[in-house]
Amino acid sequence: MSVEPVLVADCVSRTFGDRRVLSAASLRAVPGEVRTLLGRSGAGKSTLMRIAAGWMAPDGGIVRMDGEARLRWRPSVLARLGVFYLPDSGALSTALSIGAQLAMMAERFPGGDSPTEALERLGVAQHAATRPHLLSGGEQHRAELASIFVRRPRVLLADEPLRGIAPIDQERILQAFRALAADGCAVVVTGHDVAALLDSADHVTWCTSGTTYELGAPQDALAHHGFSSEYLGKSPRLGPQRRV
Amino acid sequence: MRAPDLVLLYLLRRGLRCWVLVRLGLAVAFVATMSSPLAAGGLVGLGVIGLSLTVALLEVQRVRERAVLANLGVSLPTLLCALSFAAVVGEILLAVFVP
Repeated sequence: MSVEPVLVADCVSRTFGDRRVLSAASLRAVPGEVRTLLGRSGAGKSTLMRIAAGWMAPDGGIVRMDGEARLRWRPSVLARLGVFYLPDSGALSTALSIGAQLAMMAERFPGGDSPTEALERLGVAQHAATRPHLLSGGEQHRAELASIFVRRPRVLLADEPLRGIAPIDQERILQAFRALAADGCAVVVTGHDVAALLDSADHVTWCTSGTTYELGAPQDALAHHGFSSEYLGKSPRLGPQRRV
Repeated sequence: MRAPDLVLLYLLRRGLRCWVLVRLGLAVAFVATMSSPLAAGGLVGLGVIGLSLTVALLEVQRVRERAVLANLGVSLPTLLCALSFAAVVGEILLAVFVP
């Protein structure tokens, strides 16, 4: 039995100046699934994520949340409905300590992990009193993930969360995404760390030439000729060590 | 008694910080032009409130800040009210108490 998506960006288009970045691109966030949105740089992945999160208005198409369709949602409204957007440049303010920001999240949205629990789960409890920008990239990402466990969103949109961090931190972050999905969260993650992302994804969406293709499970994506030849190339890391 | 809302306190503090910064900058400018550094009321007050709010909004439009506030579900009206509160109260107090 297929599960209905909770958040859908449907047939959205977006132009910047003369450049059409998206035309008829779609994104679905399905409860209990980790979906990965893959594509070359400039393919429109981040734009599609921003539109789905309400950060940017599409020129055309709709965004549906819990079945309600709008051309554009306000980010704060989507957040109150359970959407958490993790932009590629970070989701924690540099003006406050990590602990203070997690406390705000816990107060605003009770029901998730306590800030202490969440920081311990991600191994950054010792940095609770530190401001995020004073930490390494991997520690910052883990602190951001801690805020997600405090929030316990219904939908997580994570834009390139694995960029520039060590494999051990990537593994920890992907495990956290799997844990969220196991609890019913709909996770959508973009990035270029294809081997790691395919290893933990349930579903692959390919973003290319301004549109998207639903390729299905990772093994189906790997068998897709266009995806393999136009995006993956001859990556040796996508061979036998894959989990699928 | 209900504890004060942490998000609201955070926004009020940011608004207060921006108002103080704008006031300090203006005080220097007023002294340089031989005016009272605490000049208030009328157009000056409105200008300070507008400038403080603009500075505060620019600060929270940086991607990280924007993400925090969006993920906390802070709406635009709440943001505008909280960020301008300190400037409005401060300007009223200056207009009333500073000759």
